[in-house]
Amino acid sequence: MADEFPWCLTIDVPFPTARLATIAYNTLVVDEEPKKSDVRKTLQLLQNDTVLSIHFAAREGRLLRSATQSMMNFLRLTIDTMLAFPDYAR
Amino acid sequence: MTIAVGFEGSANKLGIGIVRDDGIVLANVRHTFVPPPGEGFLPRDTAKHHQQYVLSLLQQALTSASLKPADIDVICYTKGPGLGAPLVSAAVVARTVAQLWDKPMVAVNHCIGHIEMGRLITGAKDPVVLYVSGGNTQVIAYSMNKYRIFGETIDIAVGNVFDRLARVLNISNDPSPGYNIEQLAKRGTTLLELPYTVKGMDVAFTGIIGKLETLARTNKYTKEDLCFSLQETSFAMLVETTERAMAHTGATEVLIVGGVGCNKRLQEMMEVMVAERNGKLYATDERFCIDNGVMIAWAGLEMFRVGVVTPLRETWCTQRYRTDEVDVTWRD
Ligand SMILES: Nc1ncnc2c1ncn2[C@@H]1O[C@H](COP(=O)(O)OP(=O)(O)OP(=O)(O)O)[C@@H](O)[C@H]1O
Ligand SMILES: [Mg+2]
Repeated sequence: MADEFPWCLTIDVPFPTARLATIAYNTLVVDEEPKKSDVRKTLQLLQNDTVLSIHFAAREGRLLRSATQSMMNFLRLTIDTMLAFPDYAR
Repeated sequence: MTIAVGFEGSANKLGIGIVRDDGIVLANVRHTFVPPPGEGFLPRDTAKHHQQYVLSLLQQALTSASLKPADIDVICYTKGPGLGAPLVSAAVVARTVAQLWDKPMVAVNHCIGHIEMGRLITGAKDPVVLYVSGGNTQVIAYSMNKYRIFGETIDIAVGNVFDRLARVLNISNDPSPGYNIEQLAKRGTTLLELPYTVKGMDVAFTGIIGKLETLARTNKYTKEDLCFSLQETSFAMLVETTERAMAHTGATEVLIVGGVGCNKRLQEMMEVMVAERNGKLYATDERFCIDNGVMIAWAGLEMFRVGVVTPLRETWCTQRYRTDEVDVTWRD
């Protein structure tokens, strides 16, 4: 049987500390793709919890593109929030 | 003293509010995404707007309240109903600061936020609530730990009719289409006949917008008369159903909440009906009527005080979330 989700992408994002990587993970893992979605998304923490690894698999290229784009926006937003409160982001 | 922050971004307004448990509002800041005339707000552009402004708005809220993150006790955010990506944009920041500052979170129903804010600001005790906005039109009364929906629109929200008429007539969306329609309506002189649809406790508005679009296309009628006729007809429908809810529940108070609720003509028409029944009308101005962060902070604070906390893993958003799904455990 052919792979139904052939369009894949993995993004590995290193953080300065495990705490910040974990905060990003906890923030972004909450919004799941709908059960019957044409995109699958998996998040995990790697390298002693300092790298956030996000994996996408989609049925179509354009779906992969839009899912990735929206994730990058939210990833940026959580990182910008950390940067906005440096005293709390140690 | 407990202090709550509220994040609201379910539609085109992004609001952050800070409130204290004695009901004192410490901050209420808002930034609105205003599309050009003739256009509505699309989810993608609205999310982009929220992402662009949310952090400066948060700083502004903390500064105007003269508070540090350490002074905050609970982080509240809008869970729904609303637009997916805009909701998540506010929630992502709420989740992040909750972890950075090590604070608990409370997920709030947007409609409940409007109601609790209205009760706080006006002091209404147990009113029939008319909730009128761009996405909702409901007549609500509290009973046995639920805000029960007595009547509602069976098609589109009344504010949606205002927003669509503004698009058809190329009226500015700044500060809101409804506000500009209210100003034009003041100079209307002729009442054009529009479909008046009340079915029991429910109302319907697609007939009105359809007819308005047809009338507008003929170029025979002034903007002023179209706006005036919309207000007179749709508000009469809302007053009729609110009166029926008063009769049904025996309530003497009426509270109007939601963006359309800042309309003075609606308040005036409602006041006439309520006065005839020897009741009392409560309404607020645009600071609290229009979507804002305080309403989410206050409703969340009320929930938090009775022990409601939303675990981080469950702080998702949902586009559909009915008013009567929420257990109102903070009221007797
Ligand atoms: N003075 C006014 N008269 C009539 N309508 C108004 C007035 N001011 C604002 N509105 C309308 O109120 C609506 C906005 O309401 P509000 O800010 O409560 O929330 P919303 O975005 O519609 O969300 P929801 O439906 O989820 O509560 C818009 O339809 C707007 O045109
Ligand atoms: Mg609203």
